Amino acid sequence: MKEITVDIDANGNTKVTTKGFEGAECLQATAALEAALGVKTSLQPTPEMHKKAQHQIKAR
Amino acid sequence: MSHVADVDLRITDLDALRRAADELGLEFVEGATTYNWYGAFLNDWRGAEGQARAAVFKGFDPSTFGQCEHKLRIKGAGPGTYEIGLVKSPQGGPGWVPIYDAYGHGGRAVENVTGGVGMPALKQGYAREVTVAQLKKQGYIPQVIKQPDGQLKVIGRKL
Repeated sequence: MKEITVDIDANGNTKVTTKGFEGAECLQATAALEAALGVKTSLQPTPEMHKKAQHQIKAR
Repeated sequence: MSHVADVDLRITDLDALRRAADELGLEFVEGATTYNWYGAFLNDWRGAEGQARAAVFKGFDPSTFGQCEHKLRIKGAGPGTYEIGLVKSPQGGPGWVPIYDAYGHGGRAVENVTGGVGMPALKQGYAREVTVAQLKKQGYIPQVIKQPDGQLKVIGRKL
């Protein structure tokens, strides 16, 4: 299951985290959300984001 | 006296604003061209607070105070109650910026419903509505959880 979590503080500041995505897929999934919110949110990359890159390295 | 302040919030989704405003007891008036304020610019907002908050020091033209493209007003409030104008930012860019007269009873009435100086409750509500709408648009099922400390957690899930 893919999950996007947006934490919104009492001043409306947002932080986006994702779960269940691999590689840079999460960036694509959150780009539209960031654009809709009109601000660059604080995105915290997780180990999953680097999974695909690691697979590509191993395959060489 | 008039202390016209802009708010650090860029509105691009009017439907989201309408829903957020409604929850706070505000009515969104689309296409309104004027909003209630003191009525005259006196350039009387001095000191550190004025420097930090006065819209005139951020490029807003005082001759346009009272004019807007949409507005928010307190539901059920009497005539003359201060309102929130939505205007284009002098810095350009999409959407609208809230602006209102922050002085005295009128200003406090606006801040009471929007969460205080800087309108934090309106900002949070707007961010929530934008997030929920966008997650749905992308095929996620959103869940909004209010935390004990007042923060919101919006979780979108998709198989």
